Parts: sequence; C-alpha cells; structure tokens
Amino acid sequence: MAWERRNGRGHYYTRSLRVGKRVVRQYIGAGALAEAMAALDAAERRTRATERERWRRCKARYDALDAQAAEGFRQTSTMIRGLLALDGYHQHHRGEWRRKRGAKGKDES
Amino acid sequence: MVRKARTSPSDAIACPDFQAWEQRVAQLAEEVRAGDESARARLRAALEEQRKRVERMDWEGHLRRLVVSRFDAGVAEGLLMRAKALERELLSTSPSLIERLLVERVVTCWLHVHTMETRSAGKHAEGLTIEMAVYWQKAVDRAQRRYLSAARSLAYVGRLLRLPPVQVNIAVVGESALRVESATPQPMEGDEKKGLGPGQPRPGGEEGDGK
Repeated sequence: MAWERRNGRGHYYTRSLRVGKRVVRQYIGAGALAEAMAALDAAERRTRATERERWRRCKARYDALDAQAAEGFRQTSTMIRGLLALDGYHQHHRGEWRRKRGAKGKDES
Repeated sequence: MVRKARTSPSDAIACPDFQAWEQRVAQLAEEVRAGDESARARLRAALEEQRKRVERMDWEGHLRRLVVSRFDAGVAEGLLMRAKALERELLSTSPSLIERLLVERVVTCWLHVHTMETRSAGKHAEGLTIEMAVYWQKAVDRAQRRYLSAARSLAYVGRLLRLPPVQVNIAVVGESALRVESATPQPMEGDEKKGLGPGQPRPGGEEGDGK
C-alpha cells in the first residue's frame, strides 16, 4: 500500500524501493504534494504497463513470423530431399548425398 | 497518410497434415533407395501433391508478404520487387523444380534477414532494454542461420545436379558479405536435423569479409 497511516493518524504517501537486496519504504509526504506524487507514480506505472503490453505483442508477432519461416524452411527441405531421392540420390550416413551407380533418375523411369 | 501493408500472423500458412506427409515422403524415399520401383511413382505423387498445394497457397509469396508486412506499403512493395529481381538473377533460364525451390528459399530467407536487421536497428535507435536487445539479436541470428543454410544448400545441390553455377553474393548489415562458391561438393550435415543443410566450412572461404 502506497498510502500509510502511522500511529493511527495521518495519510502519508510512501514508495517501496529496492536497495541492494532489501526493499525499503521511502516516505514522500502528505497533503497536496503527496497526492500529486501519487498521481505521477500511477501515470508512470500505466506507461510501463502499456510498454510491456506493446513489447509482448511485438514479440508474439515476430515469434509467429519466425515460426512460419522455420516451418516453410522445413517443408522446402523435405520437398528437396524427396526430389533428390526421386532422382536417385540418397544421403550417406546423414552426410554426403550420393547417387547410386546406374540409379534411375525421375526422367528415366 | 501512409497506408501500412499489413498481414496478420494469424494468416498462417497452415498445413495440418504436413507431418504425416513428411513421414510418408521419408518412408517412400527409403523404399526407393532400397530399389522398390513401385515406391517411385508413389513418391512422385506425394511430392506432386505437396508442390500443387504449396503453389496453390503461394507459400513463398505469402511468407514474403508477411515478412515485409510491418513496413510502409511502398517500402514493402520495393522489397518484394527486389526479392523477385534477385530470384530472376539466381535462376537459370529453364529452372527445374528443385532449383526453383532452393532459389525461392534463399531469397525468402534473405528478405527475412534484411527485415529483421532493419527492424532490429530501428528498435536499437529507439532504445532497448537488455531483454529486448537479446531477443532481437537472437531473432536476427536465427534468420541468418536459415539464410546461410539455404545458400549453402543451393550451392551444394547445384553442384550435385550440375545446375548452372550460381554465386550468391549478398551484403548484409555491417558490410559483411556472404559468398557461396566451392569447387567440390562437400558433405552436408543434417541441417536442423531434417533440412538440407550447412555442412562443413568449405575451402574457398564462404564467409568472406565483404571482398
């Protein structure tokens, strides 16, 4: 809670700050100045939330694009491997592509 | 007012039964290799079916439009035209299906790298947190890996099938250039396990420094 009562009295605005590993409470004040500071902090929080949401959407968009590019890449690879097989080639121990001697190409069958 | 050419990521190129098709192709390829002549016709039919589907969906075109979708319409159109020109440059006069697939893939990957580099540079200029900078770096790296792999596959398969020689010589941001050229076919290691892929670094230096 940013607004605190101390000894059952007053209405004080405070902020929580991290100092090293500890979280400490910073006393801001009371009255009109505290109200203004609280409003500024709230606005800043809203801005940060908006930024976070924007970043999340941006990331989702580019992740989706990346996934599609990877999928397209994979599909083309499978297609090419199939076409090579049709042409009489095979991959030797997941390495070099070789053609069997006398293998039938796609135009020869 | 500048109109944006936008395509939603939800316009995904869906191919739900692709995995089944992929397995079938792998199995048929194995049968062809083992000498089963009837498998040859079935493999051809399976590939033809996928080729038709891909052409019907205009897969590469769709992907390219998606890649440039965040640019202004004019810039996007310019990039697509540049990609087409690059494709024409790389294709021989009567390209086979395999050559066309490889070239299209190289060009699409180039477009993706270009887009990601541009986007990343723009975001850096706006100011980034460490998390964002790491994300962009990884995204650019992924796109670049696919691009390099595609270019190597084109060079490798080109030599394997005796396609007319092609030199891919594209500068990327940072003035580094990729030059793919080699005298003898080299083994390819499974690119991302499944794809046609990167292989060993070859003599002749494929990752020059812009020379």
